[in-house]
Amino acid sequence: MSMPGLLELDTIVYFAWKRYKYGDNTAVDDIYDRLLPFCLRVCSKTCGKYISTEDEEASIARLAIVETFEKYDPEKGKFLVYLGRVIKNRIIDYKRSEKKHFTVPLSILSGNRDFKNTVIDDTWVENILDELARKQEIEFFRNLLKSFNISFSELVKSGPKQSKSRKKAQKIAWMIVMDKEIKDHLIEKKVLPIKLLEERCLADRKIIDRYRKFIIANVLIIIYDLPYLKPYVVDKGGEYGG
Amino acid sequence: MVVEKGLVVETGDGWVILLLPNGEFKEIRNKGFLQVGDVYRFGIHYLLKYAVAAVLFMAILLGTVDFLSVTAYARLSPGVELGLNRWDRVVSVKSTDQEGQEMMQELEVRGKKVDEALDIILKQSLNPSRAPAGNVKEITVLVEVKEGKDEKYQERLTEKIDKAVQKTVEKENMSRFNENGLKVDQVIVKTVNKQIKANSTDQKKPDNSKSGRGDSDNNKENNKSDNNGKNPKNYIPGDKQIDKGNLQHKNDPNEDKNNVKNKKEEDKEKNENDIKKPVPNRKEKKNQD
Repeated sequence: MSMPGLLELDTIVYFAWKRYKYGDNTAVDDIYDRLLPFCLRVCSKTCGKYISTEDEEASIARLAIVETFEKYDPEKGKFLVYLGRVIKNRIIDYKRSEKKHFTVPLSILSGNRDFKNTVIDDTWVENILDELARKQEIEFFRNLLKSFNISFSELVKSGPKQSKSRKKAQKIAWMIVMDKEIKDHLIEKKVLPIKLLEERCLADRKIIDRYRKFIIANVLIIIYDLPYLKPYVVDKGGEYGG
Repeated sequence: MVVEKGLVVETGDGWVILLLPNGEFKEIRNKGFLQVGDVYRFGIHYLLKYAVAAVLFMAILLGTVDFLSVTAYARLSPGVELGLNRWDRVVSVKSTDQEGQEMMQELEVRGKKVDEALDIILKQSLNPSRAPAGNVKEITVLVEVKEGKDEKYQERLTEKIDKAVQKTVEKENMSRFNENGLKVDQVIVKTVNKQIKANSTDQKKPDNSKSGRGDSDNNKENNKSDNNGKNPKNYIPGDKQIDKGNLQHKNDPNEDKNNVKNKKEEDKEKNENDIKKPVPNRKEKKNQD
């Protein structure tokens, strides 16, 4: 699976760990901010609820980071995978000690907890990393849309409901991407050149008008080549190219 | 079952916005724990939605059919036939003679509870314009229950109708009493219970109401009588409706005297708790005929 952002994170963490091993204690602080989103994600996945930095679980995660830096060994696999498992186990330990409300989901209890003796199952952590990468991408996309004055809820409301009109709108989006002049106009002025579009692409004015925002969103996904979102725009038949 | 995968792009309190594989942005209700970047699998919701819709539709349909199905008929002496459903509501109105037809044109009782409907109809039929002062008016209510209903239902319905009629008649009598200072009207109520035989439509709607009622009177034990505490024995089954006042209007030139006489007689009868009035009247009528 291609995770450009996360492979990068893994290497950065690996170097930080090496620095730590050679006695540089500030390495943990340097890397902490970059690890935190991952840690919180692991926490919330384990607890099944949203965890913010103020929560008890977050502080457990902080301790777990330090613990991982001390215990980690490259032979055990990727650093992030190992970190994920440590955090998960610490949180389960914490939940167990707090017997009043014992709310750990069953799925976690039935999983293998004795991680030192078992083969490390990467997929769980990889999924989390994947989700984190998607989250980053979606946030990037949201900010992009914001610069065009579009929000996701607007896309829900004004997006094409019928598959027929949705396909037409997606086709128009592809045409815009192909046409350099229209594309540049859109990115510079943040507005669709409707007249030009009508002349060049022989597109239906109604669809352009009605689904303007949806078309712009699709164009942006294609232009910025967002790897996680692009499959949602490209038609499965692949008739519009890619 | 169709399972769809959606990419969570925005979350809020109880809702999330998903990007579906076909490129559609969709907002769904979700109370589970989802974060931006999650892949959410769903599809059961569709099925559940349709199932709930189907169940609701069926419930409404069956309810309507059940509501509109007549389980009992209440036949009133003015020539009105009310079809009642299992909740004692009037679902159909039929008039069997001209008087009933005329009367029902002005009234709307469909959908009302049977006691309310009876109240309205009786008030109308006891209206001074229809029943002039000095009349003796008899009201017969014939209850026919469709086969398949137990006797409890029949009894309950009869009792209910009986109560309603008596209440209305009492009120009506009281108001007349107050208006004129004297009680001028005599209203007699009779409620009859009758079970309909299966598949006999003729029995359901006897065109000759007189004979039908007479038969039923003879056959059935459940004769209930009027508000004045009068004895059911005073009833002559064949007599559907005695419009004594009208007869007298026609035959006697001295209306006022007769009316006064009537009143006095009535009062006497009340005290003695004995009514023989309808009988002599009828005899008179026969003699004159």
